Amino acid sequence: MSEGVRVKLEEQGSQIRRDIAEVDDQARAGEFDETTARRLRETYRSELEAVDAALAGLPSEDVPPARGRMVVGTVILVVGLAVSVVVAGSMLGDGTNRNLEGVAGGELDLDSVSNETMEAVIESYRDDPAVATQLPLMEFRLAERYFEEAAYDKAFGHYRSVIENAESTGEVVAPALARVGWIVWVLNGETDLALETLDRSLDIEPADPEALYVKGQILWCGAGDPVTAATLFEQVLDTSGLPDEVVAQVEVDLELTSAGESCG
Amino acid sequence: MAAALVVAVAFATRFGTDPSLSGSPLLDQPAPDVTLPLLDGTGDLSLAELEGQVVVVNFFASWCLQCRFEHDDLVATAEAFADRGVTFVQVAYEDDPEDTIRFLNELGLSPVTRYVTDPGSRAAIGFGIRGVPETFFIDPAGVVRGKIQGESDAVLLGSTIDAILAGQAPGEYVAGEVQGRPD
Repeated sequence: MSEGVRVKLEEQGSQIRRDIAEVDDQARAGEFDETTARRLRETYRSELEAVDAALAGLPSEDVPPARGRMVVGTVILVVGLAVSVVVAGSMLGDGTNRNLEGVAGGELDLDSVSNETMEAVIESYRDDPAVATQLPLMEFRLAERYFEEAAYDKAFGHYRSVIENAESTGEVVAPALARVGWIVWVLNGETDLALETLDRSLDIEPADPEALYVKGQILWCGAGDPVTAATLFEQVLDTSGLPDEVVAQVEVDLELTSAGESCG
Repeated sequence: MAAALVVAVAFATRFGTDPSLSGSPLLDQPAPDVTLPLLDGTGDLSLAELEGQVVVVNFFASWCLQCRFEHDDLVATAEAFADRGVTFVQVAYEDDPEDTIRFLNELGLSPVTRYVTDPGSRAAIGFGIRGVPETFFIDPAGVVRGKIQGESDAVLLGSTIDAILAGQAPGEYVAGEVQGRPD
């Protein structure tokens, strides 16, 4: 792993911690109200989590500065743009002769169960036609948990399973492809495979800001094409409702790519 | 908070609150201290040596239909929780060892589960089982905190283990009927 990447990430983390402390000082001095202070702390903590996740997810071999930079940038974005896949209603469907009443009358509140329970349920119901259409949703949810925990090898396996499952809908296949594209680029440096994967995602969801941003990063940092990357970053910024920190990151990237700056 | 409320309501309605049920007297009591022969003949297993872990003790038999249905869920859950300090022990109840082995070979063994026999039904008597399948959950201190009567599944197994790992005592859940050995 490039020492420069780790140092850069650690510096960012230190700065964010200083910013949090400064917010506390300013709030005590009455420079802004507690509501504003709370909002700022939450924003900084979210950024800090992204940096910590990036540090935890860096591979052991040397990472070129370009991909290291992308780790930080895209983790901020993917955390901010967490795809919300609502596992609506009963996870375990009707019309089965299995003992599936389970918890709360057939509905499984996924927020309340562990990764291990989800692993067990997915594995044991994998071949059950009664829940075939619901299983991809649960498996995608589990993959997202692993991704946010920076357990990328576990996440990758489940994303692949979702992509390859004939019962999966575009709702989960598109973001799963985007995640896989990110993983194979950041961790393995496979530019062509990553771009191909991102294109498959964008074929399903052409306006998905995460897929557009990740593809832009790969084009810029992997293929050395800041011009095309800039057009994708512009498309990302056309998306309404983006978190402020995501907009800030993309604006910086757009400025650099528009100026023809190289990545890193 | 909403998620926790859903779980709390679910457990309240499912576990141990129906007075018409004859709840297990073993709940919240120390698990029976039994030592049983391993099915593969390589030695014995004592439940006491598993103290410090969550232990899931499942009584099953080759002649039990519900046991066949829940088998994959037991295997999947045992493997999913293997790195969390959870050990599954499956006890062959009133079964010929050759039939038990044939049953497990057909359905597939879990590499992380301990399979034992129960000569003289000492463990069955100690746990007070009425038939199979019955599954008991023992916390790391060796106290029985949960029980599933009847056919379990990965949802029930996993959520019960989750609760015990979180320091809770889920109690008893009646999932279905149990089966006695046919004459």
